[in-house]
Amino acid sequence: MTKFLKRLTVLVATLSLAVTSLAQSNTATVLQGVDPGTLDPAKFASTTQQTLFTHIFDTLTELDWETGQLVGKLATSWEIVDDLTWRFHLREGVTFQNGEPFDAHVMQYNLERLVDPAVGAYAWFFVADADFESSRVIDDYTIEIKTKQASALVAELLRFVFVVPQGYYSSTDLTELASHPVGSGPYKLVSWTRDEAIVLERWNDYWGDKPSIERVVVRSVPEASTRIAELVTGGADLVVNVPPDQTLLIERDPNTVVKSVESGRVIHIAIDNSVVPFNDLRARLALNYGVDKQAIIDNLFLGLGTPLAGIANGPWRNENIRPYPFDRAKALELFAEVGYTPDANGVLRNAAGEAIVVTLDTPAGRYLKDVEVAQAVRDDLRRLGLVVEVETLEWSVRTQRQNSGMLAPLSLGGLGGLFNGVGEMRWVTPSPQYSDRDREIRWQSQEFEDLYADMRATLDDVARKEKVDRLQELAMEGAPWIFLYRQYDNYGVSSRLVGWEPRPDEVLDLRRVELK
Amino acid sequence: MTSYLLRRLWQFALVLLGVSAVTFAITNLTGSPAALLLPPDAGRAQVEALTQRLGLDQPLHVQYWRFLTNALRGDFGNSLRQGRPALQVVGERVPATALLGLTALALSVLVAIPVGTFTAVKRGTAYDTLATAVVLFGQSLPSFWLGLMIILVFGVTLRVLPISGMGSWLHLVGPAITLSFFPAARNIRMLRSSVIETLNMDFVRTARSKGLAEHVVIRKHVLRNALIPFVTIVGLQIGFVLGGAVIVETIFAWPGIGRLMVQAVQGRDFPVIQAGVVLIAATFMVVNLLTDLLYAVLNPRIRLR
Repeated sequence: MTKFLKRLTVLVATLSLAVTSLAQSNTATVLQGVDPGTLDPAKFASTTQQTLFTHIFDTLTELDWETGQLVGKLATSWEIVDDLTWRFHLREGVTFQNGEPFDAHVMQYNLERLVDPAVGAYAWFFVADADFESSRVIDDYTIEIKTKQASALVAELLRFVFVVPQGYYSSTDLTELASHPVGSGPYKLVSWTRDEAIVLERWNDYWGDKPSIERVVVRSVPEASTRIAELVTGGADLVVNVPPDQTLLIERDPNTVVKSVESGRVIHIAIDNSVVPFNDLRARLALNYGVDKQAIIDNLFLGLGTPLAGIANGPWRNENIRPYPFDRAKALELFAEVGYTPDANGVLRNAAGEAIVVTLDTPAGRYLKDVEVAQAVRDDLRRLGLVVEVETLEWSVRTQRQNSGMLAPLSLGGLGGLFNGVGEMRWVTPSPQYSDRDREIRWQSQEFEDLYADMRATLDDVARKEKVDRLQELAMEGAPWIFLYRQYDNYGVSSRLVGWEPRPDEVLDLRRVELK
Repeated sequence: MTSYLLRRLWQFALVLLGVSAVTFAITNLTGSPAALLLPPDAGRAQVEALTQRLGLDQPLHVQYWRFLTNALRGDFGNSLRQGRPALQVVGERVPATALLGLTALALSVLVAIPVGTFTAVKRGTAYDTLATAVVLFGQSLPSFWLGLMIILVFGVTLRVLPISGMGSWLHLVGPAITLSFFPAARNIRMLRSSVIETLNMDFVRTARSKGLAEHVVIRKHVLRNALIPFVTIVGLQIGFVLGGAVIVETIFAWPGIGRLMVQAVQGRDFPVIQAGVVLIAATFMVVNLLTDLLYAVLNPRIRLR
């Protein structure tokens, strides 16, 4: 029996060694939480997809994350012709992975594909935010884009329009396109087993800098502990969403490290500004003073987080705005001004004896420790003297309620993914003109609204930055949210992967990374 | 026999119709997929346009009728998330879950037969008490914990098992053992009581008084008879196995139906939920029918009418 067991152990060990050695060639294995669903760029809706698109396709423009500058990719340069017209000069000699050439006509097809009802693209980001109207081919390598109104975001948002070859995409069934993408990017799709693995292989005829890594395997592993186990045993080189309390496991291993980045995701509590007493600015300020953001960051995220002040992302953030300090005395003072004083039990009541009874809703599992954060906020507000209950909502229920304007007066949310100044300001803009969804905050500020419209039509980046700065001040002063913190994204990285740094937009970029 | 089969098939159709109506109503009541497919800050106009394109603005009964007539032709519509036929999306996951589920079920039976018989024969002894305690412990272990422990011990510390995914047969070991724990514990208890019951039968006393060796009595007389009700129980375990697969597949990143269904429900991917639930319900009913037929074969006293 012992002999048999010994033999079995040897056999099993040999087999697992064989499995591991397969992974040792020039292949990087990346573990994400979910499968991208579809790889048709017209159905672009998640950063999981964006990671794959970034390797398979090219875009006209690209954001250089080191400098924060927009740079050309399939576009060599661009200029603003007039308030409603942008002209792009395209790169010559680019071919797609199926041999089709790239030119202005193909680019025009790509823009039209976004608004083609038969394709049904989720083109919110380009058509809506860039006010896309039409495009015109000037010559084989020049294209003009017309907008409905002056729009600052045309070049910026083109970094989300992943360019596809016209011949293949116009003649192939949509269900086929969902699983068989063809682009002009540095990697080709080799195979895709749903919820298991996507295999990308370096495309050696790529027009630009060729990546060093030959094969990239992207697997979907939903459980964080499993991802971490894969990383520390050499089964993965890069894993996403490491919970803060599990970072130690990775740091203890000499071959793996944790890399964290302040993400573009701002966690806040949206206040319904139409509800008494939160229709009074002083009450909203009191909420902001009454929540200890640093304690949440320290206790729930082991210090990985930044108290939220300026809400715009990247270069657009106003660094001069300071977060509201935690000051319970000040909060009580402000509530007293609104007419609420603590009774014998410490519950805030107005002259009529009414307490502030309010629900705080939160999605469960959508953001890092969202429920725990909501509970911490609830406890702080209770200490202040409010009567607060937390309601936990499954994500789809929450979106449903948000769409019908049914969220609780206090609602935990995390917005992110935008780095252009316009989109982030839209999160708090009171005007239905720009955000036609019922805002959960119902904040009233004519000054903000006017400046927002003005900023959106300002094409000069320097002038626009000043306006975005001022808008962030207005948002902070108007306190339509309880400003909580900026979330950090934690990644587990193997020491084999040299030169990889996390991006604030959650996209994993392996194009300029080497494997040791 | 033929009329029995026809009646069962008619019940099949009714149950499937009911199942589809209930899932259809519940999924529709709890949220629309349109907003979930778009980013959280997308505008109302975009949500509405998508709702319309997906046909979700139609009255519920119209949507259900359309679903029903298409489903009869095997067309459950395209997955909202994947843009491919829902039946295909669900169908390609069946082998993974079937492999995992059947292995786990087989494991649970292989463990249950010796352990269940042993504890029944030795009932009341210290062996029995110990085994019952262990079984109870096994039945109360949450599978997410057990799965993570298997990963930690055999994957991370001993490095003898791969951690996640599907590939070699070694990948099957961790998830199959985790999934087999609960049904194994249940099967042991069921078989134990079935054997105890049989041990008290007259024919066992007769067999013993004929002077047969105890192991022959147990094997040829007791176990054969005790296994008959056991077959039904094992057949019904298929439901537990499918339920447990949701968690086990998530932990071990096994690309099966359970994980797919969780994602589909979270994203309100209606066509995939529908196709999946109908497929699972049909599987469950077919297994039930086969169990009943097998029962009749094993026990000729039972006549199906």
